[in-house]
Amino acid sequence: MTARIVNLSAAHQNVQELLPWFVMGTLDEDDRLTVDQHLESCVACRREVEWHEQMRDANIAQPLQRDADRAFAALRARLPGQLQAGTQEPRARASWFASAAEWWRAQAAWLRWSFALQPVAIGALAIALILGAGRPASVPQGAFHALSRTLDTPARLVVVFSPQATQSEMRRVLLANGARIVDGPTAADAYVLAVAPERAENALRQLRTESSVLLIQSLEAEKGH
Amino acid sequence: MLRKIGKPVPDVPQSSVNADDVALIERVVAGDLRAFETLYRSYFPRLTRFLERMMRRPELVEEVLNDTMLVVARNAQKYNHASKVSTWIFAIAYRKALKALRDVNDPVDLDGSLDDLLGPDQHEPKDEMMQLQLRRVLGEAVEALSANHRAVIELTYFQGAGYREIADIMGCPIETVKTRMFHARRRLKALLPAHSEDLL
Repeated sequence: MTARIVNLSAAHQNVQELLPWFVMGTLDEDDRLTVDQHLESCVACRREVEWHEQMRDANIAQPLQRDADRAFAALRARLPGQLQAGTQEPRARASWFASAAEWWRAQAAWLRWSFALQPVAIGALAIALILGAGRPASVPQGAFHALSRTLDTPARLVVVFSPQATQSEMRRVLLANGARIVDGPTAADAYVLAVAPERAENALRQLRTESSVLLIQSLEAEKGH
Repeated sequence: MLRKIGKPVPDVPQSSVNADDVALIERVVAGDLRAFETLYRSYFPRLTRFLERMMRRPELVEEVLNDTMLVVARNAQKYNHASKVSTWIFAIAYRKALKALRDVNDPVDLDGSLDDLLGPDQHEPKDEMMQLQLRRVLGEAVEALSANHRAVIELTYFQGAGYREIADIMGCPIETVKTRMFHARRRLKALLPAHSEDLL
C-alpha cells in the first residue's frame, strides 16, 4: 500500500514537471500520453495546467525595438576575413566587370546616386563653361546650384553622429540647423540630411562644431573652386 | 471535462528542424556573407528577446548578441548537425550571456526580491487595477528570478523549446531543466501578490 502511494506521488511529481512543455505542445508522444492520462484523474494538475496556460499567454514583456541594420554594421568589421571579403558564394574568378557590378550593388542607394550624378554634373558644368566663355561678364551670377537640381531642391549633407548621441541631442542639432533626415542610417551608420540651399553652408559649418557629430560632409558640388 | 490542451500554439515559434538554417550555415562555411547576414537577421529578434529576458541588462544585449553571432561566423564549420542550428546558436548565446553577467558581477543563480522591483503600494493592487497590472506584475516577478530560471522560462514559453533542447542549450542534464522550471514556478508563486496568484 505504501509503495503504491509512493509510486502515485512520484507519477504526480513527474507529470507536474512536464506540464510547462505539455501546455506548449513540445512534449514527445510518450510524455504527452502520460500527462493526458494523469490529468483525467488529477484536479491539482489540471489547475496547474491553467496556470501554465496563463503564463504562456501572458507574453510578459515585449523586447525593446532594436536596429538590426546598425547592429549588423557594427559586427561586420569583426567578421573573419573569409566572410568580409566576399558577398557571394565562392565561385570561379569573376570578370572585372562582374566585380565592379558587385561593388556597385553593395553601395548604399544614396551613394550610388551620388556617384551616378557626379559625371552628369561635371559634364553639364563643362558645357556651361564652354558655352558661357564668350558671354559678357555682366550676365547675372545667381547662387550656385547643381545643374541636376531645381532651385528649390534642398541641399543634402551626410552626417555620422557619435554613438553616444541621444535622440534628443540629435533632434536639437537638426532643429538648430533647419535640417531633417531624409535617408539612413546606412550600413556605415550615416544619415542623409536635407537643408534649405541658403542655409546649407551655415549648417555645414555649425554641424562641424557639434560634439555629437563625428562626420559631416556635403553631398553637393563644391562652390566654384 | 478536460479542456483541449497540450497542442502546439501557432503564435509561438516552434523549434522544428529548419533545413533553411542548415543550408545557410553551409553557405557561411563557404564564405558567403549574404548567407551570414540572412542568418543574422533571422535570429536577431529571437536572440534579442532571449537575451533581454535572461540578462535584464539591455545595454549589454547587442554586444552579447554580436559576440554570439561572431562565434557562429568563426565556427560555422564546427556545427556538427547533432542538434538543430537554433539549439546550437542559443547555446552559444546562453554561454555568452552567462559570461557577460559574471563579468559585471551579476549573480546568475541568485534570485532577487520582488521588493527591489515593486513599490510598496503595488503589492496589493486594487481590484479594478488588478487585471491591468497583472501582466506587469508577472513580468516583474519573472525579473526577480535568477538568470538561469529566467532562461528556462523564456526558452520554454516564449521560444517554444522542449526540455531536451533546453538541456542542450544550457549544457545541463534534463532533470536540471525540469528542476529549474519547477523551482521557478514555486518561486513565482511566492513572489506574486496573493490576489494576482488567484487570478492566475
